[in-house]
Amino acid sequence: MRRTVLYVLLVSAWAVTCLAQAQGDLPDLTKMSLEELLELEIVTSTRNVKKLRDAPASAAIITASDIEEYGYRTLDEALRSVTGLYVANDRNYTYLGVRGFLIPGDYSNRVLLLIDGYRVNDPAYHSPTLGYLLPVPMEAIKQIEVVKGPGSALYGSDALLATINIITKDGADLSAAAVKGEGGNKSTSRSVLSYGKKLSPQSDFVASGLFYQTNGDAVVKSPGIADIHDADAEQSYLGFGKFRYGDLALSVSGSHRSKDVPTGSFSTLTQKGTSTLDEYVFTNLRYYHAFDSTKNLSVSTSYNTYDYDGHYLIAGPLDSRDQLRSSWSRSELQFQWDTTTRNRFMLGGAYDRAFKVKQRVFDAVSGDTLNINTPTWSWGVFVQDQLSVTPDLDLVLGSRFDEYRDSSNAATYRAAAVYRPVKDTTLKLLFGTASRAPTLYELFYADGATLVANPHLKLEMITTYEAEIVQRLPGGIEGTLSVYKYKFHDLLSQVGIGGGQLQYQNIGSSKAKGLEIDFRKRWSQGLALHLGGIFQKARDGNGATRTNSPSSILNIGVVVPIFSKRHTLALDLQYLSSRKTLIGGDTGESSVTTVNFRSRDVFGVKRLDFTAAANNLFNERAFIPGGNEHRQDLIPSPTRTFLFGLEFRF
Amino acid sequence: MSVHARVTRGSLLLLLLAGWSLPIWEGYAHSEKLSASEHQIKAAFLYNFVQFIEWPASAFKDAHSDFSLCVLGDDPFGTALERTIGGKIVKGRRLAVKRSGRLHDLTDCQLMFISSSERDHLTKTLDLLAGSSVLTVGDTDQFAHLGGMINLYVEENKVRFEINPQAAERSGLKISSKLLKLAKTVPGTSGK
Repeated sequence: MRRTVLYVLLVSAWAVTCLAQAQGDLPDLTKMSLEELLELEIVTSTRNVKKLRDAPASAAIITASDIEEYGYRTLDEALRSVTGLYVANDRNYTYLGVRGFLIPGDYSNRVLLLIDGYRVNDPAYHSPTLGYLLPVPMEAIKQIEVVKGPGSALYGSDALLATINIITKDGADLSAAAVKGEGGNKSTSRSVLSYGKKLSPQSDFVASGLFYQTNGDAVVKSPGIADIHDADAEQSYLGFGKFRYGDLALSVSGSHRSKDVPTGSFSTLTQKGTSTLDEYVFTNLRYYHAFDSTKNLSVSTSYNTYDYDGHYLIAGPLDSRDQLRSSWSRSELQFQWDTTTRNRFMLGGAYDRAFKVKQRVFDAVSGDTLNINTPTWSWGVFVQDQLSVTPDLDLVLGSRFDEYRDSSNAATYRAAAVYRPVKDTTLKLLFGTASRAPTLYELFYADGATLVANPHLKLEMITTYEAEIVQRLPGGIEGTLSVYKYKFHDLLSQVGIGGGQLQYQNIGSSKAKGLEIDFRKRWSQGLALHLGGIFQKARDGNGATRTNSPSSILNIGVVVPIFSKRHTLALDLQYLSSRKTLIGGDTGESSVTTVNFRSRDVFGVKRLDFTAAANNLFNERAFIPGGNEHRQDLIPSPTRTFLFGLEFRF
Repeated sequence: MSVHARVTRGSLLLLLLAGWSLPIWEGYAHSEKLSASEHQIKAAFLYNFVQFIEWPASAFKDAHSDFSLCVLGDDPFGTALERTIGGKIVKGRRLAVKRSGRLHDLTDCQLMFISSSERDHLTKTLDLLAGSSVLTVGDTDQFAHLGGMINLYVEENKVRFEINPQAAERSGLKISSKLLKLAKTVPGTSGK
């Protein structure tokens, strides 16, 4: 407690020194040349500075036109195009890896996902909503901002490896209704319905819904276990709506997804009959007020639910059931003040309350093996200051303090220096720490067979150092080179404790270092090229290579206009070097190629678009490492999928 | 909390306080703010357009009259217009901002920003203004194609502009080559 008081005092003292610099002189955009104005990025999110190359972080942006051209149909497909990021699909859920970290059994809980600034990660698993769990159709996304590295100093728990902020479209961005229907092999269909309109200068409305269904692969052949037939189906419906009136915005979104599991995971039978069902509902009310061009306030409150039902076919007709029922609210306040043209000050806080987090394991014979409700809460405060020491040098310092239900607490920091020695060069030095509270699943879940609870888990921490050069090269190519060093303390991981049982433990440290390189160019004729690569080493506490950690990943993205910008063909390729599996084997190298063809105003009809896409174009047989819950060490990735579609806007 | 983390925390707090309490450099021209709202940027563009366009002397009532920037329809700028460019001197004249929902209330304008709220009768409005030495600027889809002179639009999160040079020429306005070079050019519609 004394430490908390000291911390609050110190940070307040700092806040006061920042505020003391208030002079109130306004930015003078009229002194900027036309060329400079054309380069200026528009602010949409209040927590980030939006001139990307000068952002005090290692950041990437995926725009709506990237989504359209490359035909990204899920969030993870889009994220995979960001250098350093990779995904794994274990045929039940999708997981995101960042810079060599994709820890089996972590449900991606070291990646924070925000939609329009509000937190999506749930209180039980702290999972982001990837795949068809994201409650927003990709067609309704204006921009995806990806910040690699720790974000806890702004956002609190879970922002260890990356923070992803999805900015949804406004009614004004759509200004119409759109209907899209796609169909392909494996009885796959995907339909999206959207409507948006700026109703008046004060009000704006947008809504978008999606239905997706596939039978998946007829046979899933994992090495070492029997083939599993007709058990890969997925069905999902999701949607979101947003209404803004003046300074108030209300958004409601949700997703409902069921998936058959064709892997015999969690000791289930290797046949059809095991499935999971996940359902999210998010409601968020936000008040944003700009007092003038230098001060703004954002206050928001949300109420959310996440339910999960697992049907695990154990033996004969016996169905072992796994359940989660959760509801939580989060209230946030944030104040931003440009005290001078050179100094931006931010102050904020959040209070989270999970009213209900009920985890239950039961079956018809044994009754309840687990039936617990562990409501929880946490609060946090943060300050950040961004100072332009000279026109060419920006410094950012930020810190956040969070306290959790068991009175454990975490102070996290970030410091960044951004220096522009010459016009086309930006140098960044970045330091950050981040923390993650153990999830209620890691703490309390016990299935009476494999997984044993561990209520004494501590917070895990990461400390990172990074240097980045962003260089505009001849010919308008934007090049980025980053080197980084990560160190985890008290890393939480599933550990075998004998007798075939597993438990989450703070197993000590893990280190990673790596180099990322990225080139981008977009020609005015519509041609675009992206090349990215990461070369990294991530080690566990014993110095051994981590599981599912590719030492190199290469990304190639190309958009080629055909005859005119009206028709585009896009190719997206990711190569991953071999990854170590849990029992020490390896996956072998793999690559996945996606192509997307898009043609506008087809069949002589205005606003009618045609799309054709192939996922895993060359039908490569690739694998990801299985987790502790899997029988098999290697899980095969999905085979080729074709999708043909039409979209009409009116 | 580990010893390492505590040491890091302590040294950072010191750095934080020391660094931020230092007196701040003064007296350099701060040329670059990192970001701004869409309409702040658009307002700055309007100011720049005025610099790079020549109006015929007949466009002004007399040598002392204001330079009038008029907003027709719902003003999307809010206070951004006054804050960014209000009270500036352009072409030796004071810049004044006028607003109205009705075209005939806006007289002696040199620049007419036609709000997207007027989208439904855009063609008619542009017809009424054609040939009257008024620079028409908008931020509505198809604005320049329909005969507006300059349209502001957003691409990749940056404000861009397109110019319909024929429309400006017909009104006796001279657009500098520099402005044309930075703009996307839109062919004028036939007729008006």
